[in-house]
Amino acid sequence: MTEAIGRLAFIIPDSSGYSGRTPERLAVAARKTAEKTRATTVTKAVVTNDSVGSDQGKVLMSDREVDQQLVVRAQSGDKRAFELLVIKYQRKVERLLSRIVRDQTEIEDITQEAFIKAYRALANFRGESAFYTWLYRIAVNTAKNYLMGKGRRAPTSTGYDAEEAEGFEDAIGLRDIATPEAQLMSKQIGEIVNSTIDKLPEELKTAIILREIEGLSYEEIAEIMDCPIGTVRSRIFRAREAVAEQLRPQLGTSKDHRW
Amino acid sequence: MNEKMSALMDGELSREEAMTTIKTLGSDAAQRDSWDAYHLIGACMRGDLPNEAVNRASSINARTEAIFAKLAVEPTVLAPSAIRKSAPIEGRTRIALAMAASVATISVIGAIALKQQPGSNVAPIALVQNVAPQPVADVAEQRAQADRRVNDYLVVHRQFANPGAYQAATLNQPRDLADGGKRAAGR
Repeated sequence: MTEAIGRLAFIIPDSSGYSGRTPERLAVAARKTAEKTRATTVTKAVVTNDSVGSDQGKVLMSDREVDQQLVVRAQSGDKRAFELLVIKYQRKVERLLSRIVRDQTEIEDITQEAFIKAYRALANFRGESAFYTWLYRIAVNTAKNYLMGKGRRAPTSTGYDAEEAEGFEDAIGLRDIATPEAQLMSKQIGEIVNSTIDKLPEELKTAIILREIEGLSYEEIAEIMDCPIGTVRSRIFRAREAVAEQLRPQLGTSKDHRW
Repeated sequence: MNEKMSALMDGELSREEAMTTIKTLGSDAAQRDSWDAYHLIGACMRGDLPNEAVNRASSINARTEAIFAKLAVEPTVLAPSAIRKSAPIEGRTRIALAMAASVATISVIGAIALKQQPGSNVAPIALVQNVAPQPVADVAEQRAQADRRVNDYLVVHRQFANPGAYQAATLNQPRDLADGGKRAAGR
């Protein structure tokens, strides 16, 4: 446990934000630590061999299924469900498109167009692939068509096909095209998130890091932290809520804000 | 509610809880803000933020709302049957369910086939275990007599109602029952 927390201390950026650590480096470090932590988790599970919570054995709904259920709602005429998918994937689509198109305004326009195209084609989505794979394919095709319309060619060296889109979140080699101003803005959000996490009580900080950076399941986190799964769920939620509270003024929203 | 949403994002809700949560997800504006903020926090911690300019904090909401504004003027999609109602079941669960279904089907078919076989000794074995010992031949004879009586009645009834139905009534009967039917018809 102490060893795991010690490794986590390396991952948590200091209060100065991303200084000295690019997101790519952070991701690489997180991935290496995740492998080590998983090994520790397996060892602990074998040694203790006890139940860690009442949720064991439950059939959980995967992220992909959650998306599909939101699509079902959207296909039934509920636009709000599609808006939730927009919120969830907008930044990822923008990041993907930033590899194809350099101009920021163009990225935003193509992102909008891609989501509208996806909504119009939603009746044809039958859930045979993950929603985000389908969406990314639409986004890439929209970008290609946009560039062709402008008489420009899409770059071919980035290899942004559907298969890559499927593993997009794991693509640590992605390089963002950032201006100094953009990096500064990105850093602001990073600083708020990191400084708030730094100030969290140890158990909340550990839980949220094991989840978001290490990608561990609640069950694995419960084993590492030696507490019930329900406690892990509560700690992660409380950590998120504490950080969200600090972010809301930056996002132009508050708890009382209504869209 | 936000705690359930947080767990839902992590794929850590049971199917039942998840279905209930998804039904109402986003109906409350504050909850949608939290949905947005939680995803942003995760992206930030993993270093998955887009190259922002895109991340200009003040414009994140504006960009999202620009998409919402365009969505608002789009005709509402109504294709409730486009996606399978039940979410896909993956991997081992799918295989296990398929195997269980196969075994259950074979069992049911086997049980029916055994029951339909004349002289099948599945039922008599069960009876013999629970009642006083009797010669097997006696039990079979009693059963055959009872069957003949019922069959006689059925054949006469069918002939009375529809003479052409006789053949159909006897076609699927075991030979001993069909013989009894003919005897009854000849009377």
